[in-house]
Amino acid sequence: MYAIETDKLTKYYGKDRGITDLNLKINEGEIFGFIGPNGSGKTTTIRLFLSLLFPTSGSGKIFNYDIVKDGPRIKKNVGFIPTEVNYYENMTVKELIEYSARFYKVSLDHRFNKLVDALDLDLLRKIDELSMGNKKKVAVIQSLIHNPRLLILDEPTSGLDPLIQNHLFDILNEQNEKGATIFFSSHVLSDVEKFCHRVAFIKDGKIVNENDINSLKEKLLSRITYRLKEGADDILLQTPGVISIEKNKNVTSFLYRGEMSLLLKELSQLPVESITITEPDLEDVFMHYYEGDSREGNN
Amino acid sequence: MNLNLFLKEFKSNLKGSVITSVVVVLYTALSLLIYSSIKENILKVTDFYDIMPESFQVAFNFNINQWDNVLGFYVTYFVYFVPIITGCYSIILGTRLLSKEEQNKTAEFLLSRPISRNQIISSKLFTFFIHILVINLLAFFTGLFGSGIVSEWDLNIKSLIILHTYGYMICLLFGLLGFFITVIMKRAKAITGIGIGIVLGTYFFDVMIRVFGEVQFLLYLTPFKYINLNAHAPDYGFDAWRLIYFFCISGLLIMLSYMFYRRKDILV
Repeated sequence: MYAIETDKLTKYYGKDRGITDLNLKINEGEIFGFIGPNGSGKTTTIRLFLSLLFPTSGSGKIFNYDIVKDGPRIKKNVGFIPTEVNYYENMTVKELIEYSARFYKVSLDHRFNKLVDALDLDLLRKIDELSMGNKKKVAVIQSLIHNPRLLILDEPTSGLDPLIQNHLFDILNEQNEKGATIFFSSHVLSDVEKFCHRVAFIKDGKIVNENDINSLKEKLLSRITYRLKEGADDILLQTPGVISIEKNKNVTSFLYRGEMSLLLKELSQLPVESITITEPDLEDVFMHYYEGDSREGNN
Repeated sequence: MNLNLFLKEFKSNLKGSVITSVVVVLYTALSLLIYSSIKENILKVTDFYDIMPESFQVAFNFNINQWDNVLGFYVTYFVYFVPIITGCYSIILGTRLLSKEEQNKTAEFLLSRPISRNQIISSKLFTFFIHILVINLLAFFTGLFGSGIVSEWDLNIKSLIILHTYGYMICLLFGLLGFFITVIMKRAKAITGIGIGIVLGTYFFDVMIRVFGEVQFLLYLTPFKYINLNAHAPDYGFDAWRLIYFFCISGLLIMLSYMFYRRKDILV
Protein backbone atom coordinates (compact mmCIF):
# COMPACT_ATOMS: atom_id res chain seq x y z
CA MET A 1 0.00 0.00 0.00
CA TYR A 2 1.22 3.47 -0.86
CA ALA A 3 0.92 6.39 1.54
CA ILE A 4 -0.12 8.57 -1.41
CA GLU A 5 -1.11 7.39 -4.84
CA THR A 6 -2.58 9.50 -7.61
CA ASP A 7 -3.72 8.51 -11.04
CA LYS A 8 -3.92 11.27 -13.66
CA LEU A 9 -5.13 13.65 -10.96
CA THR A 10 -6.29 16.82 -12.67
CA LYS A 11 -7.74 20.07 -11.42
CA TYR A 12 -8.96 23.00 -13.46
CA TYR A 13 -10.44 26.18 -12.00
CA GLY A 14 -12.89 26.84 -14.80
CA LYS A 15 -10.55 27.27 -17.74
CA ASP A 16 -7.49 27.94 -15.59
CA ARG A 17 -5.03 25.13 -15.09
CA GLY A 18 -4.35 23.84 -11.59
CA ILE A 19 -2.62 20.50 -12.16
CA THR A 20 -2.81 18.05 -15.04
CA ASP A 21 -2.42 14.27 -15.10
CA LEU A 22 -0.50 14.08 -11.86
CA ASN A 23 0.82 10.58 -11.20
CA LEU A 24 2.50 10.04 -7.85
CA LYS A 25 3.34 6.98 -5.81
CA ILE A 26 4.79 7.69 -2.41
CA ASN A 27 5.79 4.83 -0.17
CA GLU A 28 4.99 4.66 3.53
CA GLY A 29 7.85 5.99 5.63
CA GLU A 30 9.27 8.04 2.79
CA ILE A 31 10.18 11.74 2.91
CA PHE A 32 9.02 12.99 -0.43
CA GLY A 33 10.00 16.42 -1.71
CA PHE A 34 7.59 18.23 -3.98
CA ILE A 35 9.30 21.16 -5.56
CA GLY A 36 8.23 23.80 -8.00
CA PRO A 37 8.04 27.55 -8.49
CA ASN A 38 5.10 29.63 -7.27
CA GLY A 39 1.93 28.89 -9.24
CA SER A 40 3.19 25.49 -10.40
CA GLY A 41 0.37 23.56 -8.68
CA LYS A 42 1.94 22.49 -5.37
CA THR A 43 -0.75 23.98 -3.15
CA THR A 44 -3.52 22.79 -5.48
CA THR A 45 -2.17 19.24 -5.12
CA ILE A 46 -2.15 19.53 -1.33
CA ARG A 47 -5.66 20.98 -1.24
CA LEU A 48 -6.86 18.06 -3.32
CA PHE A 49 -5.26 15.66 -0.82
CA LEU A 50 -7.08 17.45 2.00
CA SER A 51 -10.45 17.55 0.16
CA LEU A 52 -10.56 21.33 0.16
CA LEU A 53 -10.80 21.00 -3.60
CA PHE A 54 -12.29 18.27 -5.72
CA PRO A 55 -10.59 16.84 -8.81
CA THR A 56 -11.79 17.70 -12.30
CA SER A 57 -10.69 14.21 -13.36
CA GLY A 58 -8.42 11.41 -12.24
CA SER A 59 -8.21 10.02 -8.73
CA GLY A 60 -6.12 9.99 -5.62
CA LYS A 61 -5.74 7.74 -2.61
CA ILE A 62 -4.12 8.24 0.75
CA PHE A 63 -3.52 5.03 2.70
CA ASN A 64 -5.84 3.44 0.17
CA TYR A 65 -8.71 5.80 1.04
CA ASP A 66 -10.21 7.86 -1.76
CA ILE A 67 -9.50 11.59 -1.41
CA VAL A 68 -13.01 12.48 -2.57
CA LYS A 69 -15.11 9.98 -0.62
CA ASP A 70 -13.06 9.33 2.50
CA GLY A 71 -11.83 12.78 3.52
CA PRO A 72 -12.49 12.53 7.29
CA ARG A 73 -10.92 9.05 7.53
CA ILE A 74 -7.82 10.26 5.72
CA LYS A 75 -7.49 13.34 7.86
CA LYS A 76 -7.48 11.33 11.08
CA ASN A 77 -4.04 10.21 10.02
CA VAL A 78 -2.78 13.43 8.50
CA GLY A 79 -0.99 16.40 10.03
CA PHE A 80 -0.85 19.55 7.91
CA ILE A 81 1.32 22.66 7.98
CA PRO A 82 0.11 25.33 5.55
CA THR A 83 2.25 27.90 3.75
CA GLU A 84 0.37 30.80 5.21
CA VAL A 85 -1.00 30.15 8.68
CA ASN A 86 -4.53 31.49 9.18
CA TYR A 87 -6.02 30.53 12.52
CA TYR A 88 -8.79 31.94 14.70
CA GLU A 89 -7.27 35.22 15.80
CA ASN A 90 -9.23 35.69 19.00
CA MET A 91 -8.07 32.34 20.41
CA THR A 92 -4.95 31.88 22.49
CA VAL A 93 -2.32 29.42 21.27
CA LYS A 94 -3.41 26.91 23.90
CA GLU A 95 -7.10 27.25 23.03
CA LEU A 96 -6.33 26.73 19.36
CA ILE A 97 -4.25 23.62 19.97
CA GLU A 98 -6.83 22.20 22.39
CA TYR A 99 -9.57 22.93 19.85
CA SER A 100 -7.58 21.07 17.21
CA ALA A 101 -6.81 18.15 19.57
CA ARG A 102 -10.51 17.62 20.33
CA PHE A 103 -11.17 16.85 16.66
CA TYR A 104 -8.75 13.93 16.97
CA LYS A 105 -10.02 13.00 20.45
CA VAL A 106 -6.51 13.21 21.90
CA SER A 107 -5.31 14.93 25.04
CA LEU A 108 -2.23 17.10 25.26
CA ASP A 109 0.42 14.92 26.89
CA HIS A 110 4.15 15.20 27.62
CA ARG A 111 4.92 15.16 23.87
CA PHE A 112 3.02 18.39 23.52
CA ASN A 113 5.02 20.00 26.35
CA LYS A 114 8.24 18.79 24.73
CA LEU A 115 7.27 20.37 21.42
CA VAL A 116 6.31 23.64 23.09
CA ASP A 117 9.69 23.74 24.85
CA ALA A 118 11.61 22.84 21.70
CA LEU A 119 9.91 25.55 19.67
CA ASP A 120 9.89 28.08 22.52
CA LEU A 121 6.24 29.06 22.20
CA ASP A 122 4.14 31.16 24.59
CA LEU A 123 0.83 29.33 24.97
CA LEU A 124 -1.04 32.21 26.52
CA ARG A 125 -0.60 34.68 23.69
CA LYS A 126 -3.43 35.34 21.27
CA ILE A 127 -3.02 34.18 17.70
CA ASP A 128 -3.39 37.72 16.32
CA GLU A 129 -0.45 38.86 18.47
CA LEU A 130 1.90 36.27 16.96
CA SER A 131 4.51 36.91 14.30
CA MET A 132 4.44 34.83 11.11
CA GLY A 133 7.22 32.62 12.51
CA ASN A 134 5.37 31.99 15.77
CA LYS A 135 2.17 31.19 13.90
CA LYS A 136 4.19 28.63 11.96
CA LYS A 137 5.33 27.09 15.24
CA VAL A 138 1.68 26.74 16.29
CA ALA A 139 1.03 25.05 12.95
CA VAL A 140 3.88 22.63 13.58
CA ILE A 141 2.59 21.68 17.02
CA GLN A 142 -1.05 21.26 15.98
CA SER A 143 0.07 19.08 13.07
CA LEU A 144 1.82 16.65 15.40
CA ILE A 145 -0.43 16.34 18.46
CA HIS A 146 -2.31 13.32 17.11
CA ASN A 147 0.84 11.49 16.02
CA PRO A 148 -0.12 11.35 12.32
CA ARG A 149 0.99 8.68 9.87
CA LEU A 150 1.34 11.27 7.13
CA LEU A 151 2.59 14.83 7.41
CA ILE A 152 1.74 17.20 4.59
CA LEU A 153 3.96 20.25 4.75
CA ASP A 154 3.44 23.22 2.47
CA GLU A 155 6.54 25.45 2.63
CA PRO A 156 7.03 24.61 6.31
CA THR A 157 10.26 26.55 6.78
CA SER A 158 9.03 29.90 5.49
CA GLY A 159 8.98 32.48 8.26
CA LEU A 160 11.09 30.39 10.63
CA ASP A 161 14.54 31.49 11.74
CA PRO A 162 17.43 29.09 10.97
CA LEU A 163 17.63 27.79 14.55
CA ILE A 164 13.94 26.91 14.63
CA GLN A 165 14.23 25.46 11.11
CA ASN A 166 16.83 23.05 12.49
CA HIS A 167 14.55 22.15 15.40
CA LEU A 168 11.78 21.56 12.90
CA PHE A 169 13.93 19.23 10.80
CA ASP A 170 14.93 17.35 13.98
CA ILE A 171 11.26 16.95 14.95
CA LEU A 172 10.32 15.82 11.45
CA ASN A 173 13.18 13.34 11.29
CA GLU A 174 12.07 11.93 14.63
CA GLN A 175 8.52 11.52 13.29
CA ASN A 176 9.90 9.85 10.18
CA GLU A 177 11.98 7.44 12.26
CA LYS A 178 8.75 6.45 14.02
CA GLY A 179 7.32 5.56 10.61
CA ALA A 180 5.56 8.73 9.48
CA THR A 181 5.51 9.56 5.79
CA ILE A 182 6.33 13.15 4.96
CA PHE A 183 5.13 15.05 1.90
CA PHE A 184 7.35 18.10 1.78
CA SER A 185 6.34 20.83 -0.64
CA SER A 186 8.81 23.65 -1.12
CA HIS A 187 10.45 25.99 -3.57
CA VAL A 188 13.71 25.93 -1.60
CA LEU A 189 16.02 23.41 -3.22
CA SER A 190 18.44 23.21 -0.30
CA ASP A 191 15.64 22.23 2.15
CA VAL A 192 14.56 19.39 -0.10
CA GLU A 193 18.14 18.37 -0.79
CA LYS A 194 19.09 17.94 2.85
CA PHE A 195 15.84 16.41 4.07
CA CYS A 196 14.12 14.29 1.42
CA HIS A 197 14.64 10.75 0.14
CA ARG A 198 12.97 11.36 -3.19
CA VAL A 199 11.84 14.43 -5.05
CA ALA A 200 9.38 15.35 -7.78
CA PHE A 201 9.57 18.59 -9.72
CA ILE A 202 6.34 20.23 -10.78
CA LYS A 203 6.06 22.96 -13.35
CA ASP A 204 2.95 24.42 -14.98
CA GLY A 205 0.82 21.82 -13.22
CA LYS A 206 2.76 18.82 -14.50
CA ILE A 207 5.39 16.62 -12.93
CA VAL A 208 8.47 17.19 -15.07
CA ASN A 209 10.82 14.88 -13.25
CA GLU A 210 11.05 12.49 -10.34
CA ASN A 211 14.36 11.47 -8.80
CA ASP A 212 15.95 10.00 -5.75
CA ILE A 213 17.86 12.64 -3.91
CA ASN A 214 21.35 11.31 -4.72
CA SER A 215 20.90 11.52 -8.46
CA LEU A 216 19.44 14.98 -8.00
CA LYS A 217 22.50 16.08 -6.07
CA GLU A 218 24.77 14.86 -8.84
CA LYS A 219 22.98 17.03 -11.33
CA LEU A 220 22.38 20.10 -9.22
CA LEU A 221 23.70 23.39 -10.46
CA SER A 222 25.31 26.18 -8.45
CA ARG A 223 25.24 29.85 -9.24
CA ILE A 224 28.68 31.44 -9.06
CA THR A 225 29.07 35.21 -9.00
CA TYR A 226 32.47 36.89 -8.77
CA ARG A 227 33.67 40.45 -8.84
CA LEU A 228 37.08 41.30 -10.31
CA LYS A 229 39.31 44.03 -9.03
CA GLU A 230 38.87 47.37 -10.78
CA GLY A 231 40.55 47.40 -14.19
CA ALA A 232 41.41 43.68 -14.23
CA ASP A 233 40.80 41.68 -17.39
CA ASP A 234 38.42 38.75 -17.29
CA ILE A 235 39.10 35.47 -19.07
CA LEU A 236 36.96 32.83 -20.71
CA LEU A 237 36.65 30.03 -18.16
CA GLN A 238 37.88 26.69 -19.47
CA THR A 239 36.49 24.40 -16.75
CA PRO A 240 33.77 22.13 -18.21
CA GLY A 241 30.23 22.59 -16.80
CA VAL A 242 30.11 26.39 -16.94
CA ILE A 243 26.89 27.64 -18.57
CA SER A 244 24.84 30.80 -18.97
CA ILE A 245 27.60 33.31 -18.40
CA GLU A 246 26.39 36.87 -17.79
CA LYS A 247 28.80 39.80 -17.50
CA ASN A 248 28.08 43.24 -16.15
CA LYS A 249 31.19 45.47 -15.94
CA ASN A 250 33.51 43.66 -13.53
CA VAL A 251 30.83 41.26 -12.18
CA THR A 252 30.46 37.84 -13.80
CA SER A 253 27.71 35.34 -12.99
CA PHE A 254 27.17 31.84 -14.35
CA LEU A 255 25.73 28.42 -13.57
CA TYR A 256 28.04 25.52 -12.85
CA ARG A 257 27.63 21.81 -12.59
CA GLY A 258 30.76 19.82 -11.76
CA GLU A 259 33.66 19.48 -9.38
CA MET A 260 33.82 22.71 -7.39
CA SER A 261 37.55 22.41 -6.64
CA LEU A 262 38.42 22.48 -10.35
CA LEU A 263 36.48 25.66 -10.86
CA LEU A 264 37.95 27.34 -7.78
CA LYS A 265 41.43 26.45 -8.96
CA GLU A 266 40.81 28.24 -12.23
CA LEU A 267 39.19 31.22 -10.54
CA SER A 268 42.12 31.53 -8.12
CA GLN A 269 44.25 32.64 -11.06
CA LEU A 270 42.05 35.69 -11.54
CA PRO A 271 42.27 38.93 -9.51
CA VAL A 272 38.97 38.17 -7.78
CA GLU A 273 37.76 40.70 -5.21
CA SER A 274 34.79 38.66 -3.96
CA ILE A 275 32.97 35.46 -4.85
CA THR A 276 29.61 33.98 -3.86
CA ILE A 277 28.31 30.48 -4.46
CA THR A 278 24.55 30.08 -4.09
CA GLU A 279 21.91 27.66 -5.23
CA PRO A 280 20.26 28.66 -8.49
CA ASP A 281 16.68 29.80 -8.51
CA LEU A 282 14.12 27.31 -9.69
CA GLU A 283 13.70 28.91 -13.09
CA ASP A 284 17.41 28.23 -13.73
CA VAL A 285 17.00 24.64 -12.62
CA PHE A 286 14.08 24.06 -14.92
CA MET A 287 15.69 25.84 -17.82
CA HIS A 288 19.09 24.19 -17.70
CA TYR A 289 18.40 20.83 -16.17
CA TYR A 290 14.93 19.64 -17.08
CA GLU A 291 14.58 21.23 -20.47
CA GLY A 292 17.95 19.66 -21.27
CA ASP A 293 16.75 16.32 -19.95
CA SER A 294 13.60 16.39 -22.05
CA ARG A 295 15.64 17.20 -25.15
CA GLU A 296 17.91 14.26 -24.41
CA GLY A 297 14.85 12.07 -23.84
CA ASN A 298 13.42 13.06 -27.19
CA ASN A 299 16.60 12.26 -29.08
CA MET B 1 -22.96 17.04 14.14
CA ASN B 2 -19.60 17.78 15.72
CA LEU B 3 -19.87 18.96 19.33
CA ASN B 4 -16.41 20.57 19.30
CA LEU B 5 -17.27 22.75 16.32
CA PHE B 6 -20.74 23.52 17.68
CA LEU B 7 -19.38 24.74 21.04
CA LYS B 8 -16.76 26.89 19.34
CA GLU B 9 -19.35 28.40 16.99
CA PHE B 10 -21.80 28.90 19.83
CA LYS B 11 -19.22 30.88 21.78
CA SER B 12 -17.86 32.92 18.89
CA ASN B 13 -21.34 34.15 17.87
CA LEU B 14 -22.48 34.93 21.39
CA LYS B 15 -21.69 38.65 21.29
CA GLY B 16 -23.96 39.41 18.33
CA SER B 17 -26.78 37.33 19.77
CA VAL B 18 -26.55 39.00 23.19
CA ILE B 19 -26.69 42.47 21.60
CA THR B 20 -29.70 41.47 19.46
CA SER B 21 -31.42 39.96 22.51
CA VAL B 22 -30.92 43.14 24.52
CA VAL B 23 -32.34 45.26 21.68
CA VAL B 24 -35.34 42.97 21.22
CA VAL B 25 -36.07 42.72 24.95
CA LEU B 26 -35.77 46.47 25.45
CA TYR B 27 -37.92 47.19 22.40
CA THR B 28 -40.62 44.77 23.60
CA ALA B 29 -40.54 46.12 27.13
CA LEU B 30 -40.66 49.71 25.87
CA SER B 31 -43.65 48.98 23.61
CA LEU B 32 -45.55 47.42 26.50
CA LEU B 33 -44.58 50.27 28.80
CA ILE B 34 -46.11 52.69 26.30
CA TYR B 35 -49.24 50.55 26.23
CA SER B 36 -49.50 50.51 30.01
CA SER B 37 -49.41 54.30 30.04
CA ILE B 38 -52.01 54.77 27.30
CA LYS B 39 -54.40 51.91 28.00
CA GLU B 40 -56.55 53.97 30.41
CA ASN B 41 -57.11 56.52 27.65
CA ILE B 42 -57.08 54.08 24.77
CA LEU B 43 -60.15 55.63 23.11
CA LYS B 44 -58.44 59.00 22.81
CA VAL B 45 -55.41 57.34 21.31
CA THR B 46 -57.43 55.38 18.80
CA ASP B 47 -59.23 58.60 17.87
CA PHE B 48 -55.79 60.07 17.13
CA TYR B 49 -54.81 57.13 14.96
CA ASP B 50 -58.22 57.20 13.26
CA ILE B 51 -57.38 60.51 11.62
CA MET B 52 -54.49 58.83 9.86
CA PRO B 53 -55.10 57.76 6.24
CA GLU B 54 -56.33 54.18 5.99
CA SER B 55 -53.46 53.24 3.71
CA PHE B 56 -51.02 54.37 6.40
CA GLN B 57 -52.78 52.19 8.94
CA VAL B 58 -52.69 49.25 6.56
CA ALA B 59 -49.05 49.84 5.72
CA PHE B 60 -47.93 49.87 9.32
CA ASN B 61 -50.34 47.24 10.50
CA PHE B 62 -52.20 49.48 12.95
CA ASN B 63 -55.16 47.35 14.03
CA ILE B 64 -56.28 50.19 16.24
CA ASN B 65 -59.70 48.67 16.84
CA GLN B 66 -57.98 45.87 18.67
CA TRP B 67 -55.98 48.06 20.99
CA ASP B 68 -58.41 47.68 23.86
CA ASN B 69 -56.76 44.26 24.17
CA VAL B 70 -53.04 44.06 24.99
CA LEU B 71 -52.50 41.35 22.35
CA GLY B 72 -54.04 43.59 19.68
CA PHE B 73 -51.52 46.28 20.54
CA TYR B 74 -48.67 43.80 20.89
CA VAL B 75 -49.19 42.44 17.36
CA THR B 76 -48.81 45.93 15.89
CA TYR B 77 -45.27 46.20 17.20
CA PHE B 78 -44.38 42.51 17.15
CA VAL B 79 -43.63 42.61 13.43
CA TYR B 80 -40.81 45.10 14.02
CA PHE B 81 -38.99 43.39 16.84
CA VAL B 82 -39.20 39.77 15.75
CA PRO B 83 -39.56 39.38 11.97
CA ILE B 84 -37.59 42.53 11.16
CA ILE B 85 -34.96 43.10 13.89
CA THR B 86 -34.41 39.41 14.70
CA GLY B 87 -34.93 38.54 11.03
CA CYS B 88 -32.10 40.92 10.06
CA TYR B 89 -29.84 39.38 12.70
CA SER B 90 -30.83 35.87 11.53
CA ILE B 91 -29.85 36.54 7.95
CA ILE B 92 -26.58 38.18 9.07
CA LEU B 93 -25.79 35.19 11.28
CA GLY B 94 -26.76 32.80 8.49
CA THR B 95 -24.41 34.49 6.04
CA ARG B 96 -21.55 34.77 8.54
CA LEU B 97 -21.39 31.16 9.71
CA LEU B 98 -19.61 29.82 6.65
CA SER B 99 -18.36 32.98 5.00
CA LYS B 100 -16.20 34.04 7.94
CA GLU B 101 -14.28 30.75 7.68
CA GLU B 102 -13.60 31.37 4.00
CA GLN B 103 -12.93 35.10 4.35
CA ASN B 104 -10.58 34.67 7.32
CA LYS B 105 -9.08 31.64 5.57
CA THR B 106 -9.67 29.46 8.64
CA ALA B 107 -11.61 27.08 6.37
CA GLU B 108 -8.24 25.53 5.52
CA PHE B 109 -7.70 24.71 9.21
CA LEU B 110 -11.25 23.44 9.72
CA LEU B 111 -11.36 21.29 6.60
CA SER B 112 -8.02 19.68 7.32
CA ARG B 113 -9.47 18.24 10.57
CA PRO B 114 -11.21 14.83 10.52
CA ILE B 115 -14.68 16.26 10.05
CA SER B 116 -17.05 15.75 7.12
CA ARG B 117 -18.64 18.57 5.15
CA ASN B 118 -22.05 17.36 6.39
CA GLN B 119 -20.88 17.62 9.99
CA ILE B 120 -19.70 21.17 9.35
CA ILE B 121 -23.08 22.16 7.92
CA SER B 122 -24.96 20.39 10.75
CA SER B 123 -22.86 22.00 13.48
CA LYS B 124 -23.15 25.46 11.98
CA LEU B 125 -26.90 25.13 11.41
CA PHE B 126 -27.47 23.80 14.90
CA THR B 127 -25.60 26.81 16.29
CA PHE B 128 -27.86 29.02 14.21
CA PHE B 129 -31.08 27.28 15.35
CA ILE B 130 -30.12 27.53 19.02
CA HIS B 131 -29.04 31.17 18.88
CA ILE B 132 -32.19 32.27 17.08
CA LEU B 133 -34.33 30.12 19.37
CA VAL B 134 -32.85 31.71 22.49
CA ILE B 135 -33.39 35.24 21.12
CA ASN B 136 -36.97 34.36 20.21
CA LEU B 137 -37.59 32.77 23.62
CA LEU B 138 -36.29 35.88 25.34
CA ALA B 139 -38.58 37.98 23.15
CA PHE B 140 -41.47 35.64 23.95
CA PHE B 141 -40.95 35.68 27.71
CA THR B 142 -40.54 39.45 27.73
CA GLY B 143 -43.76 39.69 25.73
CA LEU B 144 -45.50 37.18 27.98
CA PHE B 145 -44.56 38.74 31.30
CA GLY B 146 -44.87 42.30 29.98
CA SER B 147 -48.31 41.68 28.48
CA GLY B 148 -49.34 39.67 31.52
CA ILE B 149 -48.42 42.43 33.93
CA VAL B 150 -49.94 45.19 31.80
CA SER B 151 -53.20 43.25 31.31
CA GLU B 152 -53.24 41.79 34.83
CA TRP B 153 -53.00 38.41 33.11
CA ASP B 154 -56.11 38.89 31.02
CA LEU B 155 -54.19 37.38 28.14
CA ASN B 156 -54.54 34.56 25.61
CA ILE B 157 -51.19 32.85 26.15
CA LYS B 158 -51.82 30.26 23.44
CA SER B 159 -52.18 33.02 20.82
CA LEU B 160 -48.96 34.60 22.03
CA ILE B 161 -47.13 31.27 21.68
CA ILE B 162 -48.48 30.79 18.15
CA LEU B 163 -47.56 34.36 17.18
CA HIS B 164 -43.99 33.90 18.41
CA THR B 165 -43.72 30.51 16.70
CA TYR B 166 -44.49 32.25 13.41
CA GLY B 167 -41.83 34.79 14.34
CA TYR B 168 -39.28 32.05 14.95
CA MET B 169 -40.15 30.40 11.63
CA ILE B 170 -39.66 33.56 9.58
CA CYS B 171 -36.33 34.20 11.34
CA LEU B 172 -35.22 30.66 10.46
CA LEU B 173 -36.31 31.17 6.89
CA PHE B 174 -34.26 34.36 6.49
CA GLY B 175 -31.23 32.81 8.18
CA LEU B 176 -31.37 29.67 6.05
CA LEU B 177 -31.65 31.80 2.94
CA GLY B 178 -28.52 33.73 3.95
CA PHE B 179 -26.71 30.48 4.73
CA PHE B 180 -27.64 28.99 1.37
CA ILE B 181 -26.50 32.11 -0.51
CA THR B 182 -23.00 31.84 1.00
CA VAL B 183 -22.87 28.11 0.19
CA ILE B 184 -23.45 28.76 -3.49
CA MET B 185 -21.07 31.73 -3.68
CA LYS B 186 -17.79 30.76 -5.30
CA ARG B 187 -15.84 32.70 -2.68
CA ALA B 188 -18.15 33.19 0.26
CA LYS B 189 -18.03 36.61 1.82
CA ALA B 190 -20.08 38.47 4.41
CA ILE B 191 -23.11 39.92 2.68
CA THR B 192 -24.56 41.83 5.61
CA GLY B 193 -25.91 44.65 3.44
CA ILE B 194 -27.57 42.29 0.99
CA GLY B 195 -28.99 40.27 3.90
CA ILE B 196 -30.58 43.29 5.56
CA GLY B 197 -31.76 44.39 2.12
CA ILE B 198 -33.56 41.09 1.63
CA VAL B 199 -35.41 41.36 4.96
CA LEU B 200 -36.35 45.03 4.59
CA GLY B 201 -36.99 44.67 0.87
CA THR B 202 -39.46 41.82 1.31
CA TYR B 203 -41.10 43.71 4.18
CA PHE B 204 -41.58 46.88 2.15
CA PHE B 205 -42.73 44.80 -0.81
CA ASP B 206 -45.35 43.33 1.52
CA VAL B 207 -46.35 46.82 2.73
CA MET B 208 -46.65 48.21 -0.79
CA ILE B 209 -48.81 45.37 -2.00
CA ARG B 210 -51.09 45.67 1.01
CA VAL B 211 -51.46 49.42 0.36
CA PHE B 212 -51.95 49.07 -3.39
CA GLY B 213 -54.43 46.24 -3.08
CA GLU B 214 -54.88 45.40 -6.79
CA VAL B 215 -52.04 42.91 -6.98
CA GLN B 216 -52.73 40.96 -3.79
CA PHE B 217 -51.55 37.68 -5.35
CA LEU B 218 -48.00 39.06 -5.31
CA LEU B 219 -48.14 38.97 -1.51
CA TYR B 220 -47.45 35.26 -1.74
CA LEU B 221 -43.95 36.10 -2.90
CA THR B 222 -42.98 37.62 0.44
CA PRO B 223 -42.46 35.53 3.55
CA PHE B 224 -44.35 38.15 5.60
CA LYS B 225 -47.58 36.91 3.99
CA TYR B 226 -47.08 33.62 5.76
CA ILE B 227 -47.09 34.99 9.31
CA ASN B 228 -50.57 35.14 10.73
CA LEU B 229 -50.77 38.38 12.69
CA ASN B 230 -54.44 38.13 13.63
CA ALA B 231 -53.56 36.97 17.12
CA HIS B 232 -56.61 38.64 18.65
CA ALA B 233 -58.99 36.56 16.47
CA PRO B 234 -60.92 33.96 18.47
CA ASP B 235 -60.04 31.10 16.09
CA TYR B 236 -56.35 32.10 15.87
CA GLY B 237 -54.11 29.11 15.29
CA PHE B 238 -51.63 27.52 12.94
CA ASP B 239 -52.77 27.48 9.30
CA ALA B 240 -51.65 24.42 7.39
CA TRP B 241 -50.77 26.35 4.21
CA ARG B 242 -48.53 28.73 6.15
CA LEU B 243 -46.76 25.87 7.94
CA ILE B 244 -46.32 23.97 4.68
CA TYR B 245 -44.73 27.07 3.16
CA PHE B 246 -42.24 27.48 6.00
CA PHE B 247 -41.38 23.78 6.24
CA CYS B 248 -41.02 23.30 2.48
CA ILE B 249 -38.89 26.40 1.85
CA SER B 250 -36.74 25.81 4.95
CA GLY B 251 -36.37 22.11 4.15
CA LEU B 252 -35.40 22.91 0.58
CA LEU B 253 -32.80 25.47 1.64
CA ILE B 254 -31.29 23.04 4.16
CA MET B 255 -31.20 20.19 1.65
CA LEU B 256 -29.63 22.35 -1.07
CA SER B 257 -27.06 23.72 1.39
CA TYR B 258 -25.90 20.19 2.25
CA MET B 259 -25.90 19.19 -1.42
CA PHE B 260 -23.86 22.13 -2.71
CA TYR B 261 -21.42 22.34 0.21
CA ARG B 262 -20.56 18.65 -0.08
CA ARG B 263 -18.91 19.32 -3.44
CA LYS B 264 -17.85 22.93 -3.05
CA ASP B 265 -14.25 23.89 -3.81
CA ILE B 266 -12.97 25.96 -0.91
CA LEU B 267 -10.87 28.70 -2.48
CA VAL B 268 -8.97 30.28 0.40
